[in-house]
Amino acid sequence: MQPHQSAAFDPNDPHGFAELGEHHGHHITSARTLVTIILVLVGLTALTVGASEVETYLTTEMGWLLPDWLNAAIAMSIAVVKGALVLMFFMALKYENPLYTIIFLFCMFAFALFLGLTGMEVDNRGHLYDWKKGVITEGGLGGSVMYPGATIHDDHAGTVTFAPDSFSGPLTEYLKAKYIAETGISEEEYHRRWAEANHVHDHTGVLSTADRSLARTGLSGALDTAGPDTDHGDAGHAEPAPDQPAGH
Amino acid sequence: MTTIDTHSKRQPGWKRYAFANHFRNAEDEFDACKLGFWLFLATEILLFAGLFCAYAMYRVKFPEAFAAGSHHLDIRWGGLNTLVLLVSSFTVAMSIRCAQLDNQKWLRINLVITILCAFMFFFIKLTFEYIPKWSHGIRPGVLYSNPFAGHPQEPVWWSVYYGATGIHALHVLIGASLLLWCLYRSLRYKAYGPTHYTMLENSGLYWHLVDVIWIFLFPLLYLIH
Repeated sequence: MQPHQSAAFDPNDPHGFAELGEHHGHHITSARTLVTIILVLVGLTALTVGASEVETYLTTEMGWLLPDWLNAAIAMSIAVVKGALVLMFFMALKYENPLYTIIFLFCMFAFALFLGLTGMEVDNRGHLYDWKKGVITEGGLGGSVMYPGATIHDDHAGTVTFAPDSFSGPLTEYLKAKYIAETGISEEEYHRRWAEANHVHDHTGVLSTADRSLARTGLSGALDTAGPDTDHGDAGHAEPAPDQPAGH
Repeated sequence: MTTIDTHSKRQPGWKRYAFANHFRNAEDEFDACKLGFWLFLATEILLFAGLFCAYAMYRVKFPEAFAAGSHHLDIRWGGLNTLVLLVSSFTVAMSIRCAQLDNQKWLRINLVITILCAFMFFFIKLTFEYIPKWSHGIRPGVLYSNPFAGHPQEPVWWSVYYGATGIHALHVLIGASLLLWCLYRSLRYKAYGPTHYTMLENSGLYWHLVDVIWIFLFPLLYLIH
């Protein structure tokens, strides 16, 4: 029935909710059900203790080798059944508004998140750094970004091979050496390309430092009043500062 | 909130109870209180979820330490306490049923049994488990001073043990206090009956939750190899 079809208008209940109210009455769980549940719960308690004793007997007296997870799996399976019985019948989730069950299930979902995410983190401690530690060491400073090892072998007959295990040094040095070896360019040409890649146009080949900010043309070249560098023959390109690591 | 007329003895408290005026009816008030209480229970579950999570991580990391520590626990005391809590859970459910049926006498008897079980649980825990262990230096974390540890990480296990059972035991005492208050109100006012038993219902829910937590703590702590 629609609320507004009520015969008399009630100013205290203008929308007629009273007719839609949940006058369901409370569920009264029968004594028989409650007694059955408590007996089952006591039985399951005996079962879980018994299972544990049997496991102990099998491993210590019979010398069986039971898998590690078996003990926890049996104990937890029984505990889940017991907990579900208490929740369903003693706490009456079976008979009540499903909203309470949803709240409870949300808690289980959150618990699964706790376990899953914490477990992933704990389980991967150490593993993470096994494959990362060659590149990134602890400390978080850029200078510590190292490459574990690679040998660049040039037989000067057109074949460049890398033995990835014996080069040791900063990652950027490795990448620079690898690039030079692979492309076969001279050191001078490398520096020219380096300056171009870094948008260095002030003939010094030096990038901005903490003390000195240098104008560059790259993404916003139109704003650079000096304009893009045009004298490519200038010596400044061929001789970047010797202490400037490539790739920075 | 509670509008019981304490001077009038004409009618039992549950009949004299008037629901708060911002509710449409007693039914709505009951539902709202219960929903609020379930939300509180959710926070309780999440509190213990954190403890269970710590337990799981440390058990995976130090299974031998957990087995070594668990061997100090007597399965008989743990089992007895499990039965005590299960019985108390049953009696509190029965007391709510008695309130719904206006059986005041058995409501109180069931509540008394529940409260006795609660204190029995705490007494067993304290007298036969906490005190003897603590006096032997079997203590959590840095307080551990027993020279015969079975495993280097055994103090970690005892941290988990004392943390989980300690917070659980605190809940047992809180639950017992709530139920004692219910018993007092029942004896003095006949406060709970078919149309009004909100506090008894919610205290019962709290008590069942304490029971559910122990249902999981017992095998996890006592039944490890």
